[in-house]
Amino acid sequence: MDIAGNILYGFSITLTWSNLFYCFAGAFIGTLVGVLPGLGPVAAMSLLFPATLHIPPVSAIIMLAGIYYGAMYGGSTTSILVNIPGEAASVVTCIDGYQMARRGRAGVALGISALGSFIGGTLAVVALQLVAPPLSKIALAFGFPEYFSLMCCGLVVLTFMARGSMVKALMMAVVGIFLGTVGTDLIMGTPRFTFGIQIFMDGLGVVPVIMGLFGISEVILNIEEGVAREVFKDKIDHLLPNLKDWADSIGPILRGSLIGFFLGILPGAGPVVSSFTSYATEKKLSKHPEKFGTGMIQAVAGPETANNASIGGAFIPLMTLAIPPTPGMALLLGCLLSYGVQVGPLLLKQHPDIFWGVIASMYIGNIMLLVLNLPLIGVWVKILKVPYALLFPLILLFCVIGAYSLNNNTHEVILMVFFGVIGYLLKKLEYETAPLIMAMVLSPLMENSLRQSLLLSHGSFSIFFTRPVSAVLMIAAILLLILPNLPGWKRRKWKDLDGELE
Amino acid sequence: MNRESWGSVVWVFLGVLICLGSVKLSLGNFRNPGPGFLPFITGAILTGLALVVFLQSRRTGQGDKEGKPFLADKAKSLKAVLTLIGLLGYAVGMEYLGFLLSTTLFLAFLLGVVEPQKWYIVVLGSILSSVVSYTLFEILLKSPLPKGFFEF
Repeated sequence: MDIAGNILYGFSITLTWSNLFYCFAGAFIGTLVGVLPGLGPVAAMSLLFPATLHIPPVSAIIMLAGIYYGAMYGGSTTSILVNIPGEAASVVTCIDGYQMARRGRAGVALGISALGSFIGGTLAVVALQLVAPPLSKIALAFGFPEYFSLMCCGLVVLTFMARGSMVKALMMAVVGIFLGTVGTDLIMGTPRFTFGIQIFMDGLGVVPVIMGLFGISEVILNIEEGVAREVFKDKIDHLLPNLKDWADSIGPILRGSLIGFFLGILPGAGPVVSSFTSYATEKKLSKHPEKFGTGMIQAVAGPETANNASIGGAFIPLMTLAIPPTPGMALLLGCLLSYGVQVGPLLLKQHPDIFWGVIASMYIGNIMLLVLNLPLIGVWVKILKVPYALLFPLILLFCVIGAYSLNNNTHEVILMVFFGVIGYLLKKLEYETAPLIMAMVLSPLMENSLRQSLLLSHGSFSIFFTRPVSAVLMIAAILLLILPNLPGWKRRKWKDLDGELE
Repeated sequence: MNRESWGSVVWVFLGVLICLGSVKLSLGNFRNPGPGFLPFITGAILTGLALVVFLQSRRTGQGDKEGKPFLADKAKSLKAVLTLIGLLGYAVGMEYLGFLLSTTLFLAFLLGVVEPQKWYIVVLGSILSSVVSYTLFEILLKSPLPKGFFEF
């Protein structure tokens, strides 16, 4: 079947009443969590995961993916109207978006965000459907050594892209690999680090760990540091940009689509780095870089497009190689595995319904999001006015219900609270939690690939360097580890970019 | 020692514990790696990296002069601690008291003690949220919630 035939097949799956409902539910919840500061898309996806266990995997992934890209749309609303990012990928939108709102152009800022997100999201889905199938075919030739090297390389790239210290990010990846080994050893059947606790026998659940690290810890930090919000009070009108606005924005939107899509493929880059890179690019290309920060539409259009386009890019390594480049994708991988779906190059062959169904749902989801975010902007502004003091008990309640529903026992809830405390401490000590989650999800596959490779090579590590693909990946990983330590090499830290933006 | 150094000491300690635990599990050999093989490697790397962070923090004094203090302020940090205690109490208590009662008490604690609201918001907010979430998850989504002694 050609691409057109495949995408029509995808639409035949998505255009059923039930899948349209799940797609809408995902887009709606995504916008909601994007609008509300203090609850990110990853925490929202993980707390809704238990509710998806009773529905077909394709419907579940359509909904969870909808939450992920929907949050990118919603996040801009809070950035523009409150000057607080609804989620991390909308941080840069605050700078010029809020200034546009102060100059009476809130409607145009919201409009160009939603339209840019739509264009970026749609172009990325087109690229995803073109790139993923041939890449799957290449990945089919991968053996255990190639997979192990690929995962090592992915984790090293992830730590290389870290916003803070690379050593700390590496530590988090190592801790994640260790946490992934907790439970019964798959080859020998030996319980490892279970301390006799029954629920640890099957391994630590990814969902309570994610809810703890991303949900509970965020709420605790918000309670401690306070969430002050002053919602923009003027009437919001003129949502559609005029011709001059379009002329100023079309370049940033197209560049943002490219930047977002390609950075989305890289482990660790994701929507946050994409939006930052797009902002920096637009500032560099602008004839008036000094005006950035005073309400330039280019600085809203580019980053908002890039963060949405990165989601499409992030699906490529997930669906073709089973390598999740962001925590959200790690959660989707965990969900697919728990539904019994084999992710990786065989996904396209064994579960074309999931592959093409999700791609088609993203076209429809982007249209739904445009409708949800432009005409219904007033509804989201009203929700924004709910004080955090009333909101956080509900967020905690939903996290607890979500964790309990996984296995209907309170141990998962206690595990979630434990990782909430760990996440809080890690954030205070400036350790990033994203590498931990991704390494934890990859750990079982990584261990299996390592042990099988060593069995194949009779204990020789040279197997990772004698096979061409594996050797290239390993050498790339080693270079990335060595480069930042060479004298004269200055790794551009995202922190520096944060400083520039401030 | 600053907080960065203390943090890295904890990681060194954890790394060593992981290595010891892995040895107990059996490391196997390169030809046939045992169940402790990968955990041992992670423990060893963690220890090494934590030592690097420790040395860096001692050499550069990183963590000494960060503008942000570890705790925001005492009153707000107390709120965070109370929330965590409330969460743990809720997690342990829901099995005995059942979902409806434990959730009402938990929400009343958050709305009444952690972020104090007017009494009618505390009463109505906690009861309504419990009943609505029970109806949504237990009745509509058929997701079983703990019943406790009182069977509700």
